[in-house]
Amino acid sequence: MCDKELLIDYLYGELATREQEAFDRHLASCADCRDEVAGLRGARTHLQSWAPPEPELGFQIVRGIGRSVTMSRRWWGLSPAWGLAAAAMLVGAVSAAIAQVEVTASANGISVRTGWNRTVAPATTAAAVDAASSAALTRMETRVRELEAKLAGGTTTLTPTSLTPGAAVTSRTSDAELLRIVRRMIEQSEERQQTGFAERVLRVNSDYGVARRTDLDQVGRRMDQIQRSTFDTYQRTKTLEDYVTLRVGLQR
Amino acid sequence: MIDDEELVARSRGGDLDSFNQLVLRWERPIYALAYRVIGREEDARDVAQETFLRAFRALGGFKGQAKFSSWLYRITLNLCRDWIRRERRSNIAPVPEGVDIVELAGEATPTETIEDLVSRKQLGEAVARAMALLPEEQRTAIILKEYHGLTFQEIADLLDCPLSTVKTRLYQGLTVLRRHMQQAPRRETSTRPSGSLDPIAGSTN
Repeated sequence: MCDKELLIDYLYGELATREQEAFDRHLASCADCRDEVAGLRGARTHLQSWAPPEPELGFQIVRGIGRSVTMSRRWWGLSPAWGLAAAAMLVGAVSAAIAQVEVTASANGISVRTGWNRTVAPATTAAAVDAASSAALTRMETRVRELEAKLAGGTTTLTPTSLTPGAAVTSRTSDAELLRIVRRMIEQSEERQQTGFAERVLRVNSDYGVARRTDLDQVGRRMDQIQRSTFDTYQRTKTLEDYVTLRVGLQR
Repeated sequence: MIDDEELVARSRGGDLDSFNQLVLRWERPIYALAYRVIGREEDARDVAQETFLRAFRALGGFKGQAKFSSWLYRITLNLCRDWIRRERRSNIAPVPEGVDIVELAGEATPTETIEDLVSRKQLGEAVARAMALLPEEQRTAIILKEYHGLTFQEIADLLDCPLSTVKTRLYQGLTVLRRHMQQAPRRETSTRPSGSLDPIAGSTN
């Protein structure tokens, strides 16, 4: 009996030409090796009949909140007809969702909600909220700059809505101190505004993304179930019909 | 078509769509590998899913020292090994109770008769049973070679063993498989009602 490693190399065609020819000559004179090669080739042939199932997989990675990632299923992993139907439904659903977008700005932040089952009160768009915030910020900034300019010029009397020239300055030192405090307040206010606004935008984005993914997942799952169920029924009916036809044919 | 290396590079740069293209490209081979190693459909699906999640999370550590597919295979095999350890079973392939003739006929090709199909299905099941009896390392070597077309060297790298060990495992595995398949009897060619088509059950008579 020959070297098993050599035999495996020969079986998988991984010998160099000269080695292969030498092995062929050996086989011609060695019945044991000939039988073994034939038997192992037979086993390899049998292996080809073992096919794995072919389930709908459709894996895809989706980003969750923050840096987390999760697995989802592609909704378009459907047969063409059902895929088109799903796409048509999805377009309708997305249109409906867009028509019912609700953007709410409150002390707790900005929230965006979409849905098929909600009756939404007159809504403000995200762009409108954005514009209103910007206008308020601009107005405040103008007033603060005005205050700053007046203080720098030596005026100290303030009204809630504007700066007007008034009482005389009592002390240049106290003016400088006041100016420093006001500047500090301005900086803190701007910082708070920017941070708060960024947080709200992030929250809106995140909420909207999660809602969208959940909705798409639900649509995908539902379509998958419908497709599987309909296809199974069709297949079974067709197969049964073929089988009956075959049996009737054989009996004749 | 964009090759794996390019998609990996884009994925490493944060492009999720590129990674999902890799998932789409490799999900079936990975599922097939897991299924053949552990023998259970739902668990194989879980293993395949976990493979891609782990690969995505570890993408930063993948420097292209091996092919992306080899890297995926390695993750899958590690997960399969964990699964097998958990299950602690020697006979891990599913043993079907019988064959549903209606379900089976749905898989027929146009030129195949019901009898041909039953025969092919039974042969596949007999192979699955015989493979399940092999030690894990022999089964894995055969699967990687026969169904995934890896070279001996790639298998050796993947399984962290010498080239000669891979060939020995293949030889031993194929020899045992051949013996089992010779013992499996030839089936009658007539069709029978559902539930009585188990090829191994027939061998005891």
